[in-house]
Amino acid sequence: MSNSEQSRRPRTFPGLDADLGPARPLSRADTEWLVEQVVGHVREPETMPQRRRLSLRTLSLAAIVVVSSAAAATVVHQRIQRNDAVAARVVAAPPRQTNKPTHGHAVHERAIDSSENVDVAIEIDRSVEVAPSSQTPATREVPPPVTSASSAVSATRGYAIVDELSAANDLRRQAEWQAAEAAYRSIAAHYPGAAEAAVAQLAAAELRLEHLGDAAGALRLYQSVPRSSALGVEALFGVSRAYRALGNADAEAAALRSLLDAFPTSLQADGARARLKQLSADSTHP
Amino acid sequence: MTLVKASPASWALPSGPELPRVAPVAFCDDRETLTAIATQLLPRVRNLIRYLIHGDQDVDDVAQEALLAVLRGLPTFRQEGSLESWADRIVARVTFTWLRRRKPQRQFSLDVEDASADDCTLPDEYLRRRRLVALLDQLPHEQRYALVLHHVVGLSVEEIALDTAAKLETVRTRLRLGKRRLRELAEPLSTEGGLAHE
Repeated sequence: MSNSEQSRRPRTFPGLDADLGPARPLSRADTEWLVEQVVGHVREPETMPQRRRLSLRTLSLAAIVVVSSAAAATVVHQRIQRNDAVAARVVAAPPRQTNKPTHGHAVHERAIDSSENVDVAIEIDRSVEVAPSSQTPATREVPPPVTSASSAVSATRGYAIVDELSAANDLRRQAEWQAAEAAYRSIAAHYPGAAEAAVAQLAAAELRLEHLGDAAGALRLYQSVPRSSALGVEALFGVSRAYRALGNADAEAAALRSLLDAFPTSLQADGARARLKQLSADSTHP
Repeated sequence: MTLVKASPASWALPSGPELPRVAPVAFCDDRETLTAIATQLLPRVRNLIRYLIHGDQDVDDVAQEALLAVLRGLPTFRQEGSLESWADRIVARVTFTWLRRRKPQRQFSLDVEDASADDCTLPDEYLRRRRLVALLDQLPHEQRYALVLHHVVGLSVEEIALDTAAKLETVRTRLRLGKRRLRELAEPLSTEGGLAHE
């Protein structure tokens, strides 16, 4: 482009080049696929490259939705199964236990009703396990409806997490950043160890970093996600971005190197390498 | 003749191979060379198309058509300017044709917040461009097309009028209205450092 053309361009308009943006990044595999399609048809004037029925982005989003749904369903299903097993063991115990257990573990006295949460069922499970099978029956009767009640309770709880995540997502979509962040953190606090908790924690960190101007807070949240978890790569990338927002280039570079060491083939790896290169260039030519 | 510059910040690709100093017509049948050219041009082609069309959904489909037109047109490239500038004109024409033949404009929900929330892990310049196209997405496509060709591609009003079969005054009006609308849309963002003003 000539100098006159450059001067014609308002500052509002970035240039046209092969750098990132405004088109969304295309993976190397998709780039190769697309180029192959085009080159393969150059000598065939009558035909056009076969278009993908769905765009790459649509397919990616669909895959994410499917995987997320499957993960959520698995978590809920596992909870239901676990508590069904718990209840089954309780039901399988002698129907009337007339003596107290000899190991000092009292059978939990509360009857389970639909208003109690899954922890109650787990307590009963522990009590039953410590009671020796040779013992004479305990004094208290275990109510038969416990199986369906505990299943319902656990299912309710599993669905509750999904509902809460969905509500937090809605808040985020409505740009209610503060409320959404609080909702995500609440999920992480209430369901520690759940798969959804890590997801919620990352989402809260993201909001802190991107919308609430709290990079230090975001950093703490990112760092608290276990690197060995499935979301470890996301957390590490978040750590690097938080350090970037805090202006700590050395720590940012260290986080990016950790990411590349631990997840060299991840989706974030290319971005991490590019950023490391940029950081290196910046340090060479400040 | 160096036809292709390596892209320093290419997301998807390493620096491309240096193309041989040969007349274009000589490499039109060479699959490897065509692949190298297409690979090098693709990011720029996709960027231009995204500047010109609404939303991300159709970018790759239009890019296929445009890139095919560029490769098929290589024998007509007279090396009077850069390959990129020559390709830009072809890409713009293919995109314009696509815009005219497609069904009435679909409305997408992409807005500035969506763009920044989605792409927050990417470089700042990328985000700036995404914010700009989010604003361009709100313009009528005639105004958008004129603005992009004039301010991004660098075509003159006369060249745009020729390419779009429109009168000079029509193109000037589109530019004026489009710029005014864009400025209005960018006003709230400029206070947050989102977009610079003229």
